Amino acid sequence: MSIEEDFRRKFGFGLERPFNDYSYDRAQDGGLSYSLNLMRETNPKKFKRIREFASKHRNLDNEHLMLLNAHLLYMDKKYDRALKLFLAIASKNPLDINRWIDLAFGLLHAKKYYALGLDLLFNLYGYIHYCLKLNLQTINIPNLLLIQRAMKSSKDYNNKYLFPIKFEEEFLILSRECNNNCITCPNETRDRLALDCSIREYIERKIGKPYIKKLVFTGGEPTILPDFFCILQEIFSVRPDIKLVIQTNGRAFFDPGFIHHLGEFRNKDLVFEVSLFSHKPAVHDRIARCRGSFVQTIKGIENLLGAGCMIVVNLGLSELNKTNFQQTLDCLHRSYPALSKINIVPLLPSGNCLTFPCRRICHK
Amino acid sequence: MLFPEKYIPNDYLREIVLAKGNSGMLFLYHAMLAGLKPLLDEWIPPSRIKEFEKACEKYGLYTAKEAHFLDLPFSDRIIGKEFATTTKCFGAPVGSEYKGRIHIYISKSEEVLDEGKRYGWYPLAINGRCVSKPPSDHYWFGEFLGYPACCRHFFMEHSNHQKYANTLKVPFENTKAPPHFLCNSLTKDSYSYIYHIPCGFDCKNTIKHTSKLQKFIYRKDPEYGRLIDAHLNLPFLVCRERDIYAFDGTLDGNTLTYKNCFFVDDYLYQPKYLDLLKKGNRVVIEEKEAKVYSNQRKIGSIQKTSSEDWFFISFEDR
Repeated sequence: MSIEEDFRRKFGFGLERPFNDYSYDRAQDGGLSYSLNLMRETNPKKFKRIREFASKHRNLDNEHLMLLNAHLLYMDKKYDRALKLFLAIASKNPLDINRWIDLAFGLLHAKKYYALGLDLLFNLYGYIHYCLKLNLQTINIPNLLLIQRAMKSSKDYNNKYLFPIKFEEEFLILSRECNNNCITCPNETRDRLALDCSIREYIERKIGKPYIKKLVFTGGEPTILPDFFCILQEIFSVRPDIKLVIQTNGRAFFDPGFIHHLGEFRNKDLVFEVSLFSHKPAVHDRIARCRGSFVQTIKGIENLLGAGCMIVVNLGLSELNKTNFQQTLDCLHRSYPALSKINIVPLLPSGNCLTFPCRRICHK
Repeated sequence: MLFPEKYIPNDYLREIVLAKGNSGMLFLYHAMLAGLKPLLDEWIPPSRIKEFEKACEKYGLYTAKEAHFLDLPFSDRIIGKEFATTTKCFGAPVGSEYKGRIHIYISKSEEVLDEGKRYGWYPLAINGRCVSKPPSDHYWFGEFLGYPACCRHFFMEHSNHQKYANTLKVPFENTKAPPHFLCNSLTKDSYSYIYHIPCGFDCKNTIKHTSKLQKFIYRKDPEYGRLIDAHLNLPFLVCRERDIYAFDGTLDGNTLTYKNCFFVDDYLYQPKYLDLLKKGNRVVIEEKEAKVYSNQRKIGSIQKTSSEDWFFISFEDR
């Protein structure tokens, strides 16, 4: 019997909360905190047993138990400890609006973060959107402040509060797993966990919204997903008009068999944003932390260009490649004139960036 | 005269009433200054906010603004509208371009203000979604507002607008002794001593608290005290929270005889039965029907249904 089943059997209500992406337009699920509070009022003995259950299983890395413990701490007014858990729970799936709502109230009660919590309550959708846009999959205080800055300085974000917010561009984390381990990644290596939601349902709800003109697939590495091409097919069959951007390290396209599947999307608005760090293999591989990734990435770019695809290169700037950066740019212009664009991507002071010697060149 | 629109004190707390533009919840300021209420929250139009803050300062009160509340009609498309309380509002941060009213917290203590304001979130509609605070915040906010523990526990267990058509019926049915006027919060937005819903309209802790406040108000502003008492010792028809009628009359057994009828709070709801009741002078109350008479002639009736679970209650001081 799983711990969740054991809990339900003993106490008559469940710990699980179904995934609730902010685009699902579903109300928050406050069932667990409601049940705990009601139990405390109506059956103190049983509530005591819940505490004992939570305490006994406190050290398990089980998200449902983390949520139980977080809510119990919250009810006991131990807000700083509850906040730590709410941050960790939000990091496990930053797509889920329930986690952001819990986090907002956790912040509201933390001594120093009342204003941040209030700002999050007024701008829930904005925080989630910019979190995904910046690809920050670890939710912590510095990242929340980064998101806040990006949101407030963006000309595209103008919240009138009275109306639903409709972003024309939406970001989907297709997979958190990756076959690189870039020093520049805004997410830490240890956070590379699979998402716990149904990708299919998640995509269906998003593409069902006609005001969304552009979808950006991000990750991890989106091409790692086994049904990557099936997902592309489904999206374009429902929304042939949509622009789809795939943020990728390009390595999967090294394989001609993989490239072959792109034939059916020839007339679709499909763009590949490929991450590259240098024209020098050793430098690129050192930043990607994967020997041989440069060869595959460059071959991937060439194969994609050969297949007539639109390619944008995202050139990440770091301490390790800054010296030859101009040469890299020149080399790309010369060798691949068919590239649509080259973006220079500054680093975010987040994730792996903070651990390695590239933090001096961080986006402010 | 019952339910005058405004009461302006001659002296004590006059500045606050003038700054606010109304005397609603004036008794709560008395309670705060009497040391009976650690925190209160108010809604002030932006055009009056500076004057209000100055007036609070004069009485040694600290303030903290939180949000704009905008009274616009709620549509069915608001996600989570089932979480909205009786205060159904859209929300925006302080400093945004809207008019509406500013939600502001007030306390005698900076520490209490800083801690208490964190519990006071309302489920405002923001970007088409209502977000509700965790239930324990209601409980602790009640403590900051000075509500007795028994009433807070009762509220936590029974305040559920989806379960009960008339949430006030629950404390009514929990009332064992004759309803006491010092437990009457039905007129809380006009003339009252308490703002919370008691666990019963005979709650001893509420009576103890309210007696102290009554004495304080009579010391500081006896005219106001007499005005409040006149409004509490009445019979009422309670359809639901914020849909309440007061009668200038007497409830005797199942017959209510009255000279006049008032709708207690026209802020949120339209008074469905006010026209009918104003035309009458007697109500005969049966189990599922209240028959309204003008002298001997029946002029209408009020049916009890699953969604309209009204009750009559009298706080008359006998």
